[in-house]
Amino acid sequence: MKGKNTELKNKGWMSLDNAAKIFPPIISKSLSSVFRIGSVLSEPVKISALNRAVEETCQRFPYYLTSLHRGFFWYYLEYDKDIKPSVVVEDSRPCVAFPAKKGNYVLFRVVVFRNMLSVEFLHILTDGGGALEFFRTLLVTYLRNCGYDIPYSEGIIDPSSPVENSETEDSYSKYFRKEVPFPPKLENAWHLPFEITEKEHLGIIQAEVSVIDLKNISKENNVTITEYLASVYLFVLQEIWKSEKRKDKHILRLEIPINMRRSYPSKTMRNFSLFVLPELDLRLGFFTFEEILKHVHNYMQIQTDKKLLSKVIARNVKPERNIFIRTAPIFIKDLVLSVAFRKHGVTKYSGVLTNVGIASMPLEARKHIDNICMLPPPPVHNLKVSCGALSFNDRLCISFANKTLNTELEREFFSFLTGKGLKVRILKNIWDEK
Amino acid sequence: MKNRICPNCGVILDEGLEICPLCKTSPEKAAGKEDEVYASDILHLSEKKSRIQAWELSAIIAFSANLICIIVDMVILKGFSWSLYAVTAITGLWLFITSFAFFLKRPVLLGTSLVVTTLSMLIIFDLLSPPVNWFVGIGLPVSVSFWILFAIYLLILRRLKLKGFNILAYAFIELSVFCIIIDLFSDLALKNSIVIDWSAITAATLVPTAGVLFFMHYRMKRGKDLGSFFHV
Repeated sequence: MKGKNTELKNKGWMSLDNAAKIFPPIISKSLSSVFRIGSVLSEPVKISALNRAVEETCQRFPYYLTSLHRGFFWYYLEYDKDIKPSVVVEDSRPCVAFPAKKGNYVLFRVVVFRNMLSVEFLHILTDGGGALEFFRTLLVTYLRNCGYDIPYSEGIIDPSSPVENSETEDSYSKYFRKEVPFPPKLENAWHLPFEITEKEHLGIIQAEVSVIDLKNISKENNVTITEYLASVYLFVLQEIWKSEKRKDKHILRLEIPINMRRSYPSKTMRNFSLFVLPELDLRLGFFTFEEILKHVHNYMQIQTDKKLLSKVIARNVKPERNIFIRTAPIFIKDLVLSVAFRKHGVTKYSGVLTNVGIASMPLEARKHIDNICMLPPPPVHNLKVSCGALSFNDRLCISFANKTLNTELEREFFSFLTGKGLKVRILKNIWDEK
Repeated sequence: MKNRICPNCGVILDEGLEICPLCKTSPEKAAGKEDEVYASDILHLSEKKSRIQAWELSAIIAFSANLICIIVDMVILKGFSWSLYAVTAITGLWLFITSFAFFLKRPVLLGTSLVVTTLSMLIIFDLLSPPVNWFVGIGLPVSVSFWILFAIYLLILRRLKLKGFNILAYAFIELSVFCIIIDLFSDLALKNSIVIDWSAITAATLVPTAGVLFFMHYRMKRGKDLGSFFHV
């Protein structure tokens, strides 16, 4: 291991960050909690160059060369310099579960097929922000190994640069203040009524939209791109709700992960994101799209306020500091966390929209990359659909992962965008071929 | 030599790469040469087929050995005497082979057939050697205990994530328990009282040795403290 990060090397293990603690008890084959950042290159992947690039990149991101282990009180990540990440060929579906709890498995994999090069991370290891940094370094290193002269610019981490201790910190704990109160509890939200007919099914629909066009239309409405997409999502949910017979719940709420590194100074490469939850209460009546835009914008402005975010950090971190919780054996924690996830997790929102941001690449690299997309983790059963977005080279790639065979949400979502004059290009889906 | 593309994965294989590291197939073979049949393919048998062939061979050997024993016994001693023991032992051994040949991947069936075979052999030996009846008092409990301990050991081995000195340590502990069981039942059968003596000495030697092996395995395997396991 290079550089200053001697802490992990000396200690040999690290505890899970606050966000990662929920995953070990809940992950399963159907709830993999695995997400992907993938690219389509201009030519087929050269496997030898890729293997070298994986090795070099892993040297710079040693904290990802860890496996999950079960302690007496908590799970932990054990560092092993000899552990090798898998470079595998594309499966019949993306984001397949890792055998994480069996131990000695790296919690990320590199996936290859023809021109496609992707990385899949288990959320225990990192969030979209950390994974994107790893992926950008891997991609540039790979292209350099192919013989192209590409600099490590655009903030891409050079594999020969030193590793810093701050990259492995649990930033949630760092910014936790015990005197901060918790945010108020939320009512349960409505869920899509679509039926899951095939347990293993995961339908993927990906499309590209011009970032400039989307930025212009968002600007016209005085909102950000994420706010605009969230408004479209909520509008479509409202339309589906209207046509549904069973209307026992009236809250339509979207979970939007936000990168906390933008609000707090943090270099961590582990999880450091929280959620904002804009909502529509349909007991107040139906909302026009313009009203939803206003609503979502105001929600996002308030909920991304640093002081309000500190409330969410307090709610998440405070329980793990409690001496009774800390000293409870792990099997009790497993039980409590899985019940808490079922009761307070996905019941609170109707959909997920993850916008990872921009995958900036050096100019010299862009001509070798056709697109970069993000696939969100397969949704939990009652959520049914999740959505991820990532911008590259002035194109925004929007990906839907759907556990059902009903594609009404995706259809309505993209139809809405085309109705607003945006050009939507549906991408060829490799998993339908397989 | 031109770079080739793997037809399965679509990736470019560098010069010198005979098989694709991802799908482990040769590009030439995957591209349609798989129809060609080589001698090595014909001779290469599946694992199951090899097992069945070995079992058939063992059946012929067992049958021949039994026949030879019976004929020799009849010719020399004009009747059945020692050959009954030999036939029982050879047939028992062949039944063990049969169990492994057919139930290797079905642990419950395999375990059951091994136990039944052992017990049947012991009953026959007991019946062949009157007047002492040792099967119920010693043979049955000791052999059942042996198979139970063996099953537990296999279960432990299967669940172990990291194998090393701990395998030996578990074997020592099970051996101690087995010695105590033998001591216990032989005392009951032969003396009608229980005095755990020699097995206690064996256990007193084996258990601390197992403790040292466990320590070496879990404490020293990474040269680190146990802070990771017990961190609060």
